[in-house]
Amino acid sequence: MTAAVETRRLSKRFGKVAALDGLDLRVEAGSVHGFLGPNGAGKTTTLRILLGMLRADSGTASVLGLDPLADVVALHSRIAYVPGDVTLWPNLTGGEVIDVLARLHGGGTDRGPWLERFELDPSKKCRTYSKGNRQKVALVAAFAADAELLILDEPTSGLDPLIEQAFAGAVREARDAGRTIVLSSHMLSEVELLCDWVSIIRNGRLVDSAALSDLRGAHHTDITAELDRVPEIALPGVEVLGTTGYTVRLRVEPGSLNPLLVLLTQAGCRTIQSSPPSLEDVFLAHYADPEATK
Amino acid sequence: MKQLVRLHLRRDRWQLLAWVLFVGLLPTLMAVSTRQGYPDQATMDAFAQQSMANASEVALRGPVFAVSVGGLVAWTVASSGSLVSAVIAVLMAVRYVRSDEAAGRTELLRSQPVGRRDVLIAALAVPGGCAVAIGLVVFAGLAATGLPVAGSLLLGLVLMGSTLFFTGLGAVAAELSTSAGLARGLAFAALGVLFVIAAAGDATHSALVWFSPFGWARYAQAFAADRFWVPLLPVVTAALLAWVAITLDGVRDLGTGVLPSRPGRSVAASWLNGPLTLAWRLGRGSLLGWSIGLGLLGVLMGSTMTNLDAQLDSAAFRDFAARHGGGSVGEVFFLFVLYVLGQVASAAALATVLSLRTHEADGLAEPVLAQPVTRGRWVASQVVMAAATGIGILAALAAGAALTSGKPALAFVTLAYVPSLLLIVGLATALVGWAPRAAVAVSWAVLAALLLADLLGEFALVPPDVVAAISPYAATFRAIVGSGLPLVAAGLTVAAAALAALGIVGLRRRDLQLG
Repeated sequence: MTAAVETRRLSKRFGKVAALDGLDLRVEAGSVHGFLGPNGAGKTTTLRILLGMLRADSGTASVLGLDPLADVVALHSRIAYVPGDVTLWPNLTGGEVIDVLARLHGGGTDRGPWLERFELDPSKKCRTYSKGNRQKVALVAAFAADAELLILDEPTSGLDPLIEQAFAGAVREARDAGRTIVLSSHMLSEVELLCDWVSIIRNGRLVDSAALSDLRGAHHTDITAELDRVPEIALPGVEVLGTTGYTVRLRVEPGSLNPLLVLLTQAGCRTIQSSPPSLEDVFLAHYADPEATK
Repeated sequence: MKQLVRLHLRRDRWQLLAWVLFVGLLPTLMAVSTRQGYPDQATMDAFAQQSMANASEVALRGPVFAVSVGGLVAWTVASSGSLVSAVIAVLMAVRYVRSDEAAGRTELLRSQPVGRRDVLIAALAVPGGCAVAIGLVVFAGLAATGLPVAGSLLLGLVLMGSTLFFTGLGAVAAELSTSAGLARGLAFAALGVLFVIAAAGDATHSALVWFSPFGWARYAQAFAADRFWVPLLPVVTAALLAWVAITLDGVRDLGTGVLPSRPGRSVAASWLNGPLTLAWRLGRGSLLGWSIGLGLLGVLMGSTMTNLDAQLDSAAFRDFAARHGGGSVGEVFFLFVLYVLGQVASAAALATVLSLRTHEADGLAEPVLAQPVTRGRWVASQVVMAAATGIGILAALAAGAALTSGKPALAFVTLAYVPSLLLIVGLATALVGWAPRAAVAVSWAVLAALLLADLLGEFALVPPDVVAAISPYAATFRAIVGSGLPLVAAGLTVAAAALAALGIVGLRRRDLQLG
């Protein structure tokens, strides 16, 4: 596969603060790539370097095979971007902004269906839009543009659940059409729902980057089982979280799942619930342990 | 309430302090320099006589009521100082009332257990308090230089009154409109009208002066008749304006204005397709507003010129005109007013070019620069729009004056200020490129310093040669009444272009400093 975005040892300081500290990031073309991290992790800084608005102190970045600083025009005509904090010209209407951005981009305007999907009234002055509505203006402009790569910085903040669904549909369609989407977020559910691949960043460094399936597989499953009798559970890779009467709660590593199930069956299993690890657990595990960044 | 006032004071302590000290110490500064520049009665008499022979001086400052140090200080600063303080008072009132509301800060405050009115009253109390402080500083400073106590106190009250009046005016404008920009526009339009009323009143020796706070400032006659009841006029009207603002605030919803916000067109006009046309779309309101204003002023000056020639046809003024390049007295009058209006047009152009920096900081640059638009093109578009704004305003003034007076030369001398204006635009561009955080403050400070230098040069407190060397406006004025205009104009234009190019280079090599 080819990389739509590739950075090597990307570093950026703002005064004394190191925003990025040797970030290696690779986004496969045609994927939906989740870029996860807490506030201040360096997500927006990375995206702005990819757009050529900031220049890295050291390291290299390549986007669609181009240099973000040198090839601004060629690159940006293939990219659509939604900033994290959408500010719009207060005295222009939403419709005007969408048209202007589309024309700057150089593509035609096929905004009609997008306005409907995102339920946006284009005749209102941007001054009167709420945060969610400003976000919708930027999203309509981004999706209506004929871009190979969509860079979306926390795109669903401020959207209501219905519009969030419309957004999810739009992302899937874009992927099916062969576009690449980079989506930064600190909302785990959103990344879980939409992304094929996840990169986790903390303190300006890559913590983990894996296919969503691999990220899950690398971690545990939580099991709650009601048994006829409570056996001695001393299997490697299984942690007993608690026992209440005949009910046990367990956390199990993938490799230990089979022997555990055998044990549970022998103990007379009446009910069993298993929950796959939520991305939240993965995420928190990475942050709870500073060693994980090493 | 006390907390709210403290919040504003904490947030803007340096701006507020600079305002109080600058306006407050201006009269003291003038008193000290007047003593040095005009050491005896004879030189003061000569200065006053010359000034009164100049119709533009009379219109802009009113008559000299007493030829003494105090009298001359009052004449210089009562109206002009009020004008400066009025502009700041409007900016501050709009900032605390409307900008805070538009940015959502007011919403945050109102959700706290504070009274509905308290937010507005605190917003007015801060500039109001500054007005009182200005009055005290004026009084203390003047009295300390040994001027009569009564006159010192009265001049302090005059500047306090004007500041209070325009704080109230700014608050009413902020209540009326939904956007801070429109509120400032409304308030400055009113300010301009009030100033013109006072100028017209003094130029025609009519009672019109009593319909303007600038007239009140003049006719309090500090250090002459000392009419202590006159400052009551601005104070009472300020209270009235504050009451109007509070009433309007009570009847409207948070986030709205009294003037409704209408829906606009849902599809952009077909010409709106690039950074240049976008800059035009965003800046055309300012260009249009200023052009109409200065165009009308041009019409007014052009159409009264022949009349003025007859009215001012005194020996003293003919002598004055001859020393300033000849021409009819009306034309010389026009030249003097033009000198200031060139700076007004520059201010409009400066505001336009500085939106490069404000848009960079508030996030409006980001969506444009994420499109296939180079930074150079983005900067160049805004610079072109700024130049067009300044040139358009001067062209409107030139057309108004030349067409109604039938003297095409007036258009020529008006447009002679275009290179000066371009230099200011170029300087601001260079600052945005290389010193983005300081660019806005430094650019305005430079324009203000040039105004001050021109003022000091005009009173010969700084040698005119020095002023001409640092101020493009003074250099242009000299070249108009003297010679060498093509050279000065070409030099200024080349310098402006070089500075703008330097700014583009700077902006291309630095990081964008996004909010």
